[in-house]
Amino acid sequence: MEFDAIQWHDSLINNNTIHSYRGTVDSDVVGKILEDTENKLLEKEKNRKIRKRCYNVLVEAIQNLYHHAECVPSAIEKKFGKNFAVFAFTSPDQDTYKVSLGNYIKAFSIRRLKERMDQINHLSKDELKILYKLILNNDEFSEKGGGGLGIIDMARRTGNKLEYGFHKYNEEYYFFSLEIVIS
Amino acid sequence: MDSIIIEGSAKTPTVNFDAASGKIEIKGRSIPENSIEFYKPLVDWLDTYAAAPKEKTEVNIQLEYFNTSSSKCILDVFKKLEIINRANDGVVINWFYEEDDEDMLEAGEDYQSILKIPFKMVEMEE
Repeated sequence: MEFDAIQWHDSLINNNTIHSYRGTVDSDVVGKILEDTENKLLEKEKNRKIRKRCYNVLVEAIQNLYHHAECVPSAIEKKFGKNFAVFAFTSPDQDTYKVSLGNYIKAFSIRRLKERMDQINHLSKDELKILYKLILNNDEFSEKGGGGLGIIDMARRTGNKLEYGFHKYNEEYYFFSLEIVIS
Repeated sequence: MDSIIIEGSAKTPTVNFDAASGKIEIKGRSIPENSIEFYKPLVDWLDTYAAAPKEKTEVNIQLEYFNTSSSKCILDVFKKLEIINRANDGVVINWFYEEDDEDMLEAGEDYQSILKIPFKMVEMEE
């Protein structure tokens, strides 16, 4: 059975949800989500250091969707629009925050993406720093201005492993889910 | 040579590049999705400035947030300054960070370790 991204997104939303979004992710939407989450964080979290760390992770997470939500199955695009992706920001308990995101990818991208995720998850703090600096200094940008550093940055800032999954939609498309805990 | 003065926005920083005084400032937030568009004029300006720089160039970087797309562009800015410094030994980068913001301090130290240019880490009290 094809993976249901809407159901997955619904399952993330509960009393602990600070903000959630699903739909087209364009530059205006990125700005709006960041503004809304920042305002809600200001209300909820008194510790400025934690607030800043959350906001930094949110910026990278949402902009990661902006850079990578281009491959959408036609039936999904017809129903929910171009560059469709889902996002939720929750606080499972008082000192923990979680950013969950998901977007469709082509089946052939899985191998490379999985290798990247596993590499990041296996690196120590110091090794992540070295990898970050190597990519920072490589002068490469994607067409949409992505620098290939977002996921490493999130792993580095949080010190936590990235939880990810590839969920089959059909032979051509998979849904990529990513969760990052900030504690 | 003309100055560059850009007012900050929700996603882009306040910029003040002043050739007459040799003072270069980037302040605020730098979180645009595509930073290249924003930073290209600044890098180009530094190319021109490099032809006849001031004896001393003071660079003040005071960012509250910057995204990873900006981080590469900021490195490009620093690389231009590194070339100027190589020629006249007159560039200092002041990297400002809030006292509890270890991530911002570490980001400055990352740049410092990549570049051959004097960095001064400046802690700001809350």
